[in-house]
Amino acid sequence: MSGGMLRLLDRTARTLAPFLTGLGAVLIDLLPLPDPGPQSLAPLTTVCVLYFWTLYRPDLMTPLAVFVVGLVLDAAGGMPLGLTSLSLLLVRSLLLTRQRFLLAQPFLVIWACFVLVVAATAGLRWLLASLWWGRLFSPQPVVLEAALTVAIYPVVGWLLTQLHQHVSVASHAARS
Amino acid sequence: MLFLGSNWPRVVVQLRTAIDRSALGILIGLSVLLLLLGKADMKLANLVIEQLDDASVPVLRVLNEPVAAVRGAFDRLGEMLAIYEENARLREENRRLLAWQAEAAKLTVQNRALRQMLQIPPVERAPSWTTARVVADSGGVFVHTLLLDAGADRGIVSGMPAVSPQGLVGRVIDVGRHSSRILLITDFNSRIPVVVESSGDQAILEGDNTAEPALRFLPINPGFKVGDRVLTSGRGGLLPPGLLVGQISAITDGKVAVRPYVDWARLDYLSLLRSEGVLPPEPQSGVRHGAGTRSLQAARP
Repeated sequence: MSGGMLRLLDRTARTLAPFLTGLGAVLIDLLPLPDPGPQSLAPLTTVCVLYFWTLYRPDLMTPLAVFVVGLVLDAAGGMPLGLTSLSLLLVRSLLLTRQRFLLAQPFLVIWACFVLVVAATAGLRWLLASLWWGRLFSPQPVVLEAALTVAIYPVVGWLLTQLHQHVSVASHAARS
Repeated sequence: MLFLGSNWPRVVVQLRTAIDRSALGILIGLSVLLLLLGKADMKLANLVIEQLDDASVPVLRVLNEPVAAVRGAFDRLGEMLAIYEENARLREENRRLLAWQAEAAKLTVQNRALRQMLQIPPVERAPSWTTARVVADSGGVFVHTLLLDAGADRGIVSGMPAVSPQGLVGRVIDVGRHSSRILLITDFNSRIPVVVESSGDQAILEGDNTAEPALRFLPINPGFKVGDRVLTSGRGGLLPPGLLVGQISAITDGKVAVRPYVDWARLDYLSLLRSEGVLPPEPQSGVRHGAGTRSLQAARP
């Protein structure tokens, strides 16, 4: 294979990294963890991944990528199609208005802002689900899921930072 | 276009920003449209869902391997720690089961004799089933469903009951080519016709998104108590009668709660029972479509 071809492959992989990690997060969220029981709540890794890339590489985590990730989560999770996509797209556009300000902040502020993002996403999903089914859902599991999501963000954020640095270093090397 | 990198001329970047901005509006509109379409016309939404489910099942099946291995290791560790208590419990259970076995043998003979006297044809037929693996769950916040790795290709049809060794888990609501979805008995959309074993009271087991679904549409003076077993009644013909569901765990003013027998922590595989009623009647047997299990069985040699 020629060098040009390899470079193209490498660049495509780096460009697609945010979208692919988003899809990977959806799969992790779908796995029956800790068990397939109806009461076993798990964090939404997808929201962590989308938040991270929207902050650091919004050019790569495009609206289409967010839409597709939300759609897969809805379809395979047995939710009404479009419910999570819509929530994530709305939260993304809200977050982008403060993106530059947040980039300059320490991790604790970024984490605190993530609490707001999770609250907004969970609130929107709860509202849309209640409207769609025409009944009020108990807010307790929603709050628990949101709390778990906030709790795992430092780990997911750290892992993605490693990947992000790798992507950035590789793209600088490719440019020079 | 939408996945371009950042090392591009200024004009291209501006153009892309414009496209992204309009794309956002279009995609938000599309999401709303999908939501409305799903509400209005379930068929189209189901088609999209089945395609996406079919595509994700092979990946999920591979990802489930390490998950099942880790869960199995923890289970084994727990079993090893509790081996003495478990042994004592099993001896006690074995003693009780032997007594039941003798009782069952006696009742079988009696049953056969009574059937002969009343000229009722024998009903015992081994049920046929398909085993499928649980590859994904819905998270449990809004809906309680499971995704299985078997679909129409393995003879799964909508409405089939899904059971674990302990009892009823739910029933099939969506079938793709290689995937199917189970609505758990705890989901707020689940309605199962049941009967309380001791009193014979008929009721509907209605899910409410909690761990313990409720009995509704009870007779005026129900005769059951806490601890009684609840079985499927088979009314409506969708589910076979006599499947174990759970036991009554609490009776309060507002709710008669039933705790399902299912061990949710060990729900890696499920059996999907084939219903006798959906089999086409044999030719020249004179049996009507949908005439029910008994007449179909009566028509068979």
